[in-house]
Amino acid sequence: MNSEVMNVENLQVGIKDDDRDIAIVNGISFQLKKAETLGIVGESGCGKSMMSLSLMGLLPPGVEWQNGDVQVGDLHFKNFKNKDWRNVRGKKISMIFQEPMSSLNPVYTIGSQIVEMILSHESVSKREAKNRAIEMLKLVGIPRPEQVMDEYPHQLSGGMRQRIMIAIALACNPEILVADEPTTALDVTIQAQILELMKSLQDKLHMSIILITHDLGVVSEMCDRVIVMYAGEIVEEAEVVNLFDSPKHPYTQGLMESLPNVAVQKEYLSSIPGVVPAPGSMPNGCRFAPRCSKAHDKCSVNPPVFTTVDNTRVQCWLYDPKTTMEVVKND
Amino acid sequence: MIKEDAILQVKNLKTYFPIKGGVFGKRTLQQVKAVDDISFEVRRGETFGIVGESGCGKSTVGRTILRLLEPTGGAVYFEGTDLATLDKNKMRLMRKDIQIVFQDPFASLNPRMRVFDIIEEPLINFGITSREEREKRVLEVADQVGLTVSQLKRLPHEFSGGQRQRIGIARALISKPKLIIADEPVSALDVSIQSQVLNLMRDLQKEFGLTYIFISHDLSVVKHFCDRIGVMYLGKMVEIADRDELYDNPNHPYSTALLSALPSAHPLQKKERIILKGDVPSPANPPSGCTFHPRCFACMEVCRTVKPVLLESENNHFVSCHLHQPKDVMNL
Repeated sequence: MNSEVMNVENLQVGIKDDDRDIAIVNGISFQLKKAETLGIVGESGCGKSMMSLSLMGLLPPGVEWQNGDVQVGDLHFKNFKNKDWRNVRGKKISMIFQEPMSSLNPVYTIGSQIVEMILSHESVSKREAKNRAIEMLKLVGIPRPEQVMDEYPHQLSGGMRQRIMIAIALACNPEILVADEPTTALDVTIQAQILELMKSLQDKLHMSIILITHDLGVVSEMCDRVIVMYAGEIVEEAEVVNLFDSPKHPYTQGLMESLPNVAVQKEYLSSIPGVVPAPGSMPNGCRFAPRCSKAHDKCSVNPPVFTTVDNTRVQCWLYDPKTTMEVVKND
Repeated sequence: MIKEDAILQVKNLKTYFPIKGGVFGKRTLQQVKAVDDISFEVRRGETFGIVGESGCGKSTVGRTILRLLEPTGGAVYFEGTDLATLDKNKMRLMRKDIQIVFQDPFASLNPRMRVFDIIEEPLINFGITSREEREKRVLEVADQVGLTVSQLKRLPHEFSGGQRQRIGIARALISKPKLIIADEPVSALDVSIQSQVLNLMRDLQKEFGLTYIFISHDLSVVKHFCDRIGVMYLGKMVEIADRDELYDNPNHPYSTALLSALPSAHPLQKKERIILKGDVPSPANPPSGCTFHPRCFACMEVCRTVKPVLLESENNHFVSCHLHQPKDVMNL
């Protein structure tokens, strides 16, 4: 139990439409262990970004926390007010975003944005905070850190800006780093640099990383464990090697097969027909059933429950012992 | 280099953008060499891939071929006609044969036009006046890309990204072009949708004998889709080779690094990774000699001062690097 740094339980986040709750993230549960990298993969619209924003209390207006709880240490995020969130953000849990330009303030210097973070969480002098900021810049591999302190975000390249974001996020030594598509906006050679940096910082600082991405290549490179999301739900949770060796859920299998593989030349790629259903118009039963090639009668009637197969947690009727059907009916 | 079956020959193409300044903003202070003296040819019926990182000029090449941007110098021969010197009117008619599909299916479709009108518009532009004829053709193309008749009455915002890209492809296809320039056509799409669109493009190529120029930054998509590939860096073509040759035996250090930066397909398959130092330099102020030398792991003295030339190193494998240049060229 000690190694768990975060426990997400039955988290439901959504919007209200005429008093009807429409869930964007529909009751997901998972644990994050100390110093591990947990990948969360899924296509656009699967709710992975909403999930990550709710961990930081950054849900956009209109989207609300409908159910469930997130526990970090003895803190319960469920009942948090603005003030509570401010104490947690950056200190316990930090976040980096996809687009480093729009998440840095263009009218403040790099230095003042890092110093601001340190001063808001720790009672240190400005001078000390400044020195720590320079240390952070060195740590994330910024050349000539003293000068960069006085520069503005537009003077830096995309890769450098993402390094600055990481420096700000880690300035107060948080336990958890949430990285939402941190390399999607970057070129491959720069992406390789940033991923390398995140790995080496994790070795030094022992933080846990939640890495949200749509790129299975990045997952294979970085993660220890992986959660696959589809239409607001977790469909599969596995160790990274298991996931790549034998994906269980038909959706995961479909995703893997539709990726072009550099090692194998095929004339056509396999693809998953159809598109992700919109929140509010989810199909009955399994949400993936209408696009699933292995769907049978059961799938469109009842939503599947989690079963564990070879250490992989999977939400699919294919892996379910017959009896489970009865249990669901009796509930 | 010139072959019989070449549908398009690009020769010493240059596209420079002026940086204006001075008191009245009219003096040209500097030039950004977005595309700097590149040559290549595209063969009929093949897919020619152009890869490179952002800012390397790959999109500018595509747009300059179509004269959406004016070339600063050089020539583009399409079936023998030099596109770079055609007047505006003739060029407009030429675009019947050369069409483009853009990256962002959200920004490249007019949000106030119905899908039918979007697909039909090129026909009006190319002077097909008969309404019935146009309608027949739109329905035909819509069917080919997998759009239903009822969808044609809708507006672009009612479609998902993949569907919108199908509309973009239909619009490009309607004038029965010979060459389609696809500028990052699947970069904005999810993987499962990406494969649908790539499969569609391959089907259309087979059915109509299309030639593609496929511009992308995604090396695994390019490997899957292209027959020959050109690698660009800072406005220059640094390597051109057949697909398998390039991926098995990259000659240029930049291609080697790009390929090694690809995330591995399996977590246990750890690769020897070459991590390039620094960022792509600004094309307004490119480094001397070989523009790649400040980031190159195999940089030699000569690289700092002498510009390498794109030369054939092996059969059909062109590379612009001092490591692979004959000695006499280096002494020139």
